[in-house]
Amino acid sequence: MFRAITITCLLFHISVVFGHGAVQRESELKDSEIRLFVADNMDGSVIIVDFPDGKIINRVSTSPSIMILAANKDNNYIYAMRGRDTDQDLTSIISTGFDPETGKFRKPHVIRTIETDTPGGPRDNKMATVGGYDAILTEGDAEIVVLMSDVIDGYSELKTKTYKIAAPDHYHYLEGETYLYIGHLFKGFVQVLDRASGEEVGRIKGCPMLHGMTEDEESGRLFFSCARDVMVVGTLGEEKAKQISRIPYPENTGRGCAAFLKGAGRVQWCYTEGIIPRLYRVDLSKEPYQFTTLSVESSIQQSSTHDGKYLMVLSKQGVLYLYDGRDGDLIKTIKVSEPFLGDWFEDVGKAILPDIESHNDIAYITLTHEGRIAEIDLEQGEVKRYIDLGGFPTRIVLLAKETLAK
Amino acid sequence: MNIKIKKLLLGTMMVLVGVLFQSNVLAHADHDKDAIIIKMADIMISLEHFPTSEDQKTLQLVMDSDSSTEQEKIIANAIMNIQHQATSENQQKLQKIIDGTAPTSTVSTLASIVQGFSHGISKTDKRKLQTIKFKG
Repeated sequence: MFRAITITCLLFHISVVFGHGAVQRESELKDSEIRLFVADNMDGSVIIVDFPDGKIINRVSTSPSIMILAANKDNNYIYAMRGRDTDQDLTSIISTGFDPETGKFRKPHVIRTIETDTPGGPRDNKMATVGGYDAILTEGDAEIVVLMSDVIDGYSELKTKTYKIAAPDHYHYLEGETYLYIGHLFKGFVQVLDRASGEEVGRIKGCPMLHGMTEDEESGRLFFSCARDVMVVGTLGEEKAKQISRIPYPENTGRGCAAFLKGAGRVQWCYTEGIIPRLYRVDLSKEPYQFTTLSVESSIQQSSTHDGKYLMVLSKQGVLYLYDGRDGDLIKTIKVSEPFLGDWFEDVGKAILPDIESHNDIAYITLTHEGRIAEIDLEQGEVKRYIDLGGFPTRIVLLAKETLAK
Repeated sequence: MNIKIKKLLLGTMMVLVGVLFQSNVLAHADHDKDAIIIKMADIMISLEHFPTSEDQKTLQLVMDSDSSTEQEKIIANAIMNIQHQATSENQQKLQKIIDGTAPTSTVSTLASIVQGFSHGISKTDKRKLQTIKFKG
């Protein structure tokens, strides 16, 4: 009897030891050229898709109702910011998964989630910065919250610096050489703050319904869209923090520029919010600045390639119109999806519209209504394939390996 | 009333109307999208054979509400009386909505789905209803 009990005990201990023995640890590092982060607003997850194989790597669960998806300056982190259709404003910081030592990617994960009162600030899917650090503009309590930590992890204290903004509002922000420029939608002015002291330098007034902005890197000038025209503000030398000129819209449509797209050279395209029948064009190399108009099919989303070669306009009928990024000549049309039926009006609750990103003449479009992504060869003018994601894919952030730091 | 006050009131009203029609303001305002249509789409997504008593309460509220449009009341009534499918009388009423609205409109889509309902929701119609619910 004693012998039987001893053998049983030994066997039991052996099995426990076996259970905690060494196992083969497989590397999750994966070689990819392109990594897409796609906001799925059916459940608030961020879907990661790698190319060229087009495989879904994983889904990262964030708070529902994503409004903004943006990469930081160094492409180390992706920020997912909530819209306003809930009563809790959160920003999730996600790892991109890029491993600079091997040049390969791991599966991304949420590093931490922080409370931010009506978060905003990113432009063109890039985080706002102050002195090279990521910044979140909290529109509810009128602050710029600068995340001063070089590395963001889950357990260290998140060091922050805060700048007070003039008033709660919807902001359009850009960092200048030494000043911070904060456009206020409802207040209709651009507040200028000194980056070093945080003190207000001044307010450039007279821009009602300020919505949308861009910059001309060559002149250092900023362009803020107002209700009836665009206000040009200088940031360098004697022009610093001063209004330089105004650019009237070409016709009295009652609709301004909600956002700008960079075309070829110093050409910029801008479009209004909602479903629109036209784009405006301005060549910033020619003064006095002047808008011209490009008529387009009722468009649900627009984008341009990073080199400005192509202007891409997605129509409500599901056709991608490819225009020359300099003069607006129509180059080709590509049928990408079924029509977007009904009204597609995006408010500040959550993102609902499709998005377009591109790299090396390949475009990726989230077809929100069909729950998939179209991968399009712009040179060939054809859809290469569709990748089913399910849900309602909206915003995209694209990371290309060749642009990531080794 | 003093003429100056009248002018002031009129001016204020004009400014408010002007502001209301600014798309930028609309986009940044908190507003309810087609709340009633979304409510009915939500019921249809999980409808099997006939509406539950909970669904019927919601539909009755839609029919009794002053803020519901005539079209919404007709659709609510049609869903309320579904017994495996809409009654032929309600199918005719729904057809009038379909004929009288843009085929791409949300109301038309919902009316078509209710009109063609048969015991349960097809995968295609479920996606359409989820899209209505998603985008409002």
